[in-house]
Amino acid sequence: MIDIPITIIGGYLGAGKTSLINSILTGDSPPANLAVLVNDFGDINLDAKWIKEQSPDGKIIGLTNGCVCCTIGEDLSEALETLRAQLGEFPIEHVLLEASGVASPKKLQRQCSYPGYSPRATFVLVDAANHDKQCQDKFVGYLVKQQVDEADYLIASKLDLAPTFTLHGDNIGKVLHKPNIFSPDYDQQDTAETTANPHSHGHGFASCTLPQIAQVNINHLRALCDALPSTVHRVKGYVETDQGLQLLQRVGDALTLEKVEQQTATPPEQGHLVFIYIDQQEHAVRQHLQQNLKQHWRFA
Amino acid sequence: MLTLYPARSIITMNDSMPRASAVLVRDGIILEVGERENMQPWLEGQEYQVDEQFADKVICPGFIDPHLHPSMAAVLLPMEFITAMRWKLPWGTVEPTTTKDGFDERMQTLHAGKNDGGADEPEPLFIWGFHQLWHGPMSKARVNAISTTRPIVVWHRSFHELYMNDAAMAMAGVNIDDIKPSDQIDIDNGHFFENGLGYAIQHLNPWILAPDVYAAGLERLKKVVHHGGHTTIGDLATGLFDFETEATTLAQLLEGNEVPFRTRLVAHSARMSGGGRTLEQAVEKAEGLVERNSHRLHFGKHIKMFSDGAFFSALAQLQAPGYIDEHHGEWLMPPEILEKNIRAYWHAGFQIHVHVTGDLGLELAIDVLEKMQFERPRFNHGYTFEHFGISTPEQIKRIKVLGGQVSANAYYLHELSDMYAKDAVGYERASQMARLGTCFREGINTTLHSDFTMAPAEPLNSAWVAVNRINSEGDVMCPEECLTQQQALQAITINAAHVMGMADITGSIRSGKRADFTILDEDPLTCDPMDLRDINIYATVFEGKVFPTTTL
Repeated sequence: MIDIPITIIGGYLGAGKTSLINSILTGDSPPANLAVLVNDFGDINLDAKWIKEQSPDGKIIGLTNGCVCCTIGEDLSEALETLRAQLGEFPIEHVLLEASGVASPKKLQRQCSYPGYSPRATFVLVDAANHDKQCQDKFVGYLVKQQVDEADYLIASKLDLAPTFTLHGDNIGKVLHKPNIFSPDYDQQDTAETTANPHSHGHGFASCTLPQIAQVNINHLRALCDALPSTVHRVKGYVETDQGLQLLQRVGDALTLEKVEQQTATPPEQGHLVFIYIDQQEHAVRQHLQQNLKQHWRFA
Repeated sequence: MLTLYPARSIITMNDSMPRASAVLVRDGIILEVGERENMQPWLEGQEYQVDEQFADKVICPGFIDPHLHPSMAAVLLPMEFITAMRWKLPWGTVEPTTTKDGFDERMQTLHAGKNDGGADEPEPLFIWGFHQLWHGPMSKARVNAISTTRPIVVWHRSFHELYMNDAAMAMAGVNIDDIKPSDQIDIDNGHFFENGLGYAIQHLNPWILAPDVYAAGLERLKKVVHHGGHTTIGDLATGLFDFETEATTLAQLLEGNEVPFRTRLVAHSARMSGGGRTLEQAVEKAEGLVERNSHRLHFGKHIKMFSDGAFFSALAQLQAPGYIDEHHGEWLMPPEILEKNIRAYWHAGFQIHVHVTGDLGLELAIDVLEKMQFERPRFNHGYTFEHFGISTPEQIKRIKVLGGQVSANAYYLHELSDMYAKDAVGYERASQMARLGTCFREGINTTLHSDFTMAPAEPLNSAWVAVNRINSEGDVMCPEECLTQQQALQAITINAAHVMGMADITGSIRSGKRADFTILDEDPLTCDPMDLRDINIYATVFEGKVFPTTTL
């Protein structure tokens, strides 16, 4: 039985979906036998052409958004059938689907459960520079929030333009940094689990926020970060150090500290750190943090 | 040769002479309308005939439906109808079927009527119009009970789901082992919905979109258009399925001396910009379409855009307080892309038609028009809001100030207002959908359309809804928004001609215009308003040629 996985890249207009796809196709090891379905209306066309040029061997099919008045001639079904009919010629093993900027990730994921195909995780790109503004927009505010809420994983883009960008609530646990989206880690969890717990994402994440209560020496801070267990996926926040206020970001083992210029950035009222970790390890992680950080950070 | 048509009455839709008793025609052009005794100067020394066939009839300007979809109609019309509402079709009126047993009985009759019993491969039977509210739960077993050998496909009224019996699934090549539990297919019931419908359609395409079936469907559409009394229609998204195929087929089938109407073709903007073209190239392509024009088929500087989702699917985008169940509608393209597209065509001088269904979708289309007027003011631009499901009085004032026009599907009110009042948006907003009285009071050029196949392609039926505002349950919804009979007739003639950009040649009866008439047995301005939709259409006249609507 044929069962080709579909990986969905979503996110609102300008969030960087096409750039991400291009970086995958032009990266060191683009997956073999990948078909890319790109969204094809208006300006996006240019990008579709660009993708094609950059990946002469790739199988790229342009898609327009779902039919407007009825489902006859529904483009996604047609594209999937076309791919399937050509399996002899193009032995596709994986489909990468670029969602329309106005698509609901959950709805699209349901649509990707199609005879011969199964959806994997949805990755939604978040435009760090414009997200907060978009959330207030009278036309797309709801949609942009819905896309973030419905995503399995989130990837922030344009962080260079908005280094202090952060999401709120449960969604912070879904943020990934430069993921290999084809990793088996992101295979679709079974539907029952998704329905039961919308915030569980493969292996689920949990987070805690710790307010800072005392200044810390910057070398000591580095050492503390190095000693964190590997189950801590991500750390982010502002820290008062002997060398001024620092923006700390740690993804995997990679730690960056940037001095915050008080004139340019809005200083946080108080230093704090957000820790994101695998929820099954919650007890061990919290124990570790409490033992090592209690001098400088407050525990509830 | 001049032809003089005396009539019981002629409704001209020209305010300078609203009524007349005769019209004089030469070579498809109206020479003069008025009183016969005044026409003598035309007749002296000329060969002429007096044609008395309309002497006891009422002559109206040829009806215009400024928004329907010939291609969708071509897919639907070859199917058999079993519907909860009445559908008047040239080959017979489909009377309402409102019970489960009634539906099964009709299926049985249609099956038996195929008259190919005993054939090895019985012809498939496609049925459209099922709705569980009236016809009970559908299932494969229920269709199998009609026949296990004839492929039968039962299509839901909404088009968004269908049922097949075993024979149909075998015909379509549905592989049961392929279907996963998570697919939107209930294989035990032969039920295909949402994306599962996409799968079913892909497999049924050889039967429903086969060139000969499509052509047969268009032939039926021609009859529907003629029998509805139209002499002009608008295809408001040429390229709905595929631009080249449609443009080519329509050019073949909707042209020729036997076709009693002209068609304004308005291209689907996404089909202009597809295939790697930039927006500038898209506009160029749209501008070049006029080279395909023939006598009856006209592209022009018109383009179709889409704002929010379908009204029948409750995907219209609403302003607060939204839907009762708190779901949200959909955008059909990102608002920024819509704006960019509109900007490109606005600056190129196009008349832009925007599909809007909910008041938030409308708000977006109005906001963009306001921006365009700020950037580059235009008069007489004809920017038209299409469908116009839910709106606010304040938005209508803005449309007036910005010079917009309204083309409404009033049938929403008839078919959906009861359901919308109870389940979707509450009584207040449901009863005020199609806020047409306000549009007329503001002096906005306002027309009615069927969006066929969303509503019957019968302008008198659209007028009946707009005048009476009676919904499917028989309740009058917001009488304050009712149109007068005069306004409704304006809507389906001269106002529609303005929206089509054809008011110089049709839409009213006056000297110099094409001789496009709809000939009625009764007077639509003085009849009982409830009888409007039942007035018999005796014939149409297209550019001077009479096309009787004899039963086929």
